Amino acid sequence: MYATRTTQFIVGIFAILGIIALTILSLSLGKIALFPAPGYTLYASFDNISGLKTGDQVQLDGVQIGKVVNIGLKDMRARVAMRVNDGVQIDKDAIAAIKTSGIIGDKYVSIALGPSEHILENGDTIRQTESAFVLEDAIGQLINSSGSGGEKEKSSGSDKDQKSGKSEK
Amino acid sequence: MKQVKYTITRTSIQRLLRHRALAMLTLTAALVLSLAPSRFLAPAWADDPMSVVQTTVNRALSVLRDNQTPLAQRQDKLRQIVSATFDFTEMAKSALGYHWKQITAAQQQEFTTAFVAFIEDSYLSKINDYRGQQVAFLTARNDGPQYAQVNTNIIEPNGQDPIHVNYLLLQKDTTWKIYDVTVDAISIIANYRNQFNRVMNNKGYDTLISDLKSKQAALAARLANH
Repeated sequence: MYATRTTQFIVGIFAILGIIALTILSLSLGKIALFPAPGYTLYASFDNISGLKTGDQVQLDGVQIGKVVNIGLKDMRARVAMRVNDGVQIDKDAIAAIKTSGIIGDKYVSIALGPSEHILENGDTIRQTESAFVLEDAIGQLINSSGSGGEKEKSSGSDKDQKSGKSEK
Repeated sequence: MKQVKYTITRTSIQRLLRHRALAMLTLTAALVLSLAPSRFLAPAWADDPMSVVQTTVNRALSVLRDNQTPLAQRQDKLRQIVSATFDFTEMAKSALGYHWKQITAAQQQEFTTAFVAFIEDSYLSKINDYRGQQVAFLTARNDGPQYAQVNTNIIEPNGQDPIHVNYLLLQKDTTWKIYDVTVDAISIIANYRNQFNRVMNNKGYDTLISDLKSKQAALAARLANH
């Protein structure tokens, strides 16, 4: 009727192993770090982060140099904390922008270095930021302007030719 | 798949360009205004970021509205208004990003001159695009001790959604000067920084400066023909 002591012992071991496996799995899937990654923390405030999440990438020239570790609200603006790898130097005039990769819409923070000699340290804030480009707003505006702004669209068309010539260069 | 991607890029580019044109207008307007009543200039905008932006924009708008004065004269006026409140040296430096530190002092000087001329001419060429837009001044906010941001809306006469235009200001020797303008959250300086960065990395400074100069020459020629 009752299982032997050995059977109970084996079942117990398996149960513990199962719990450990689950813990590891959920920690790694949830991108929760038990120990802080090496590096230093920088902050940046945005008017709109449009769904940027903890764990998203921080990129410089398209290379990942860190990730978003915390997002909060401060003075009614989104304040993003980023863990940046040691050895990556970011100056005080750098611009942090929220960009979208691919058409699925994964967000990341892109850093464009500035001309300053003053390098930011742990706990400093990147002052200049560029908020996310919200596609829904853009589409809304396009629909809006295509209804009534015929003439203006025309003038921005010629402008576009000129500009696109430039960006091809 | 391809179609979708194309639409997104096209939408965003169109929007960016349209807004940039408007921001240029405002800038141009700002420039022109400062010229005429030079006696009243200095004390009026020494104070705080909001009044600097207000004075500049209102002066610029009055030039834009004034379609009696010959175009060349209005362009000169706008140029003066803008150069009084915009920190073009800072803008040129910031637009070049970290490459600024890698070029010589003479090149820095050359680039600043070329960039300022380019920016001015591209905004001035938009002077005739003004269609009676109004500007609403919303809020001013301090971003640290020497930095501030002033938010404004450009209100379209035909009832379209307003365009959010924000001015970023930097305080130098007690005077506030504008060093960047964002239009619907798209920063003009960040935009140029990315473009210049690409050219500097791929082709180097010589290509960048010659491109910039030839674009500016083309713009100046178009301005002169107006």
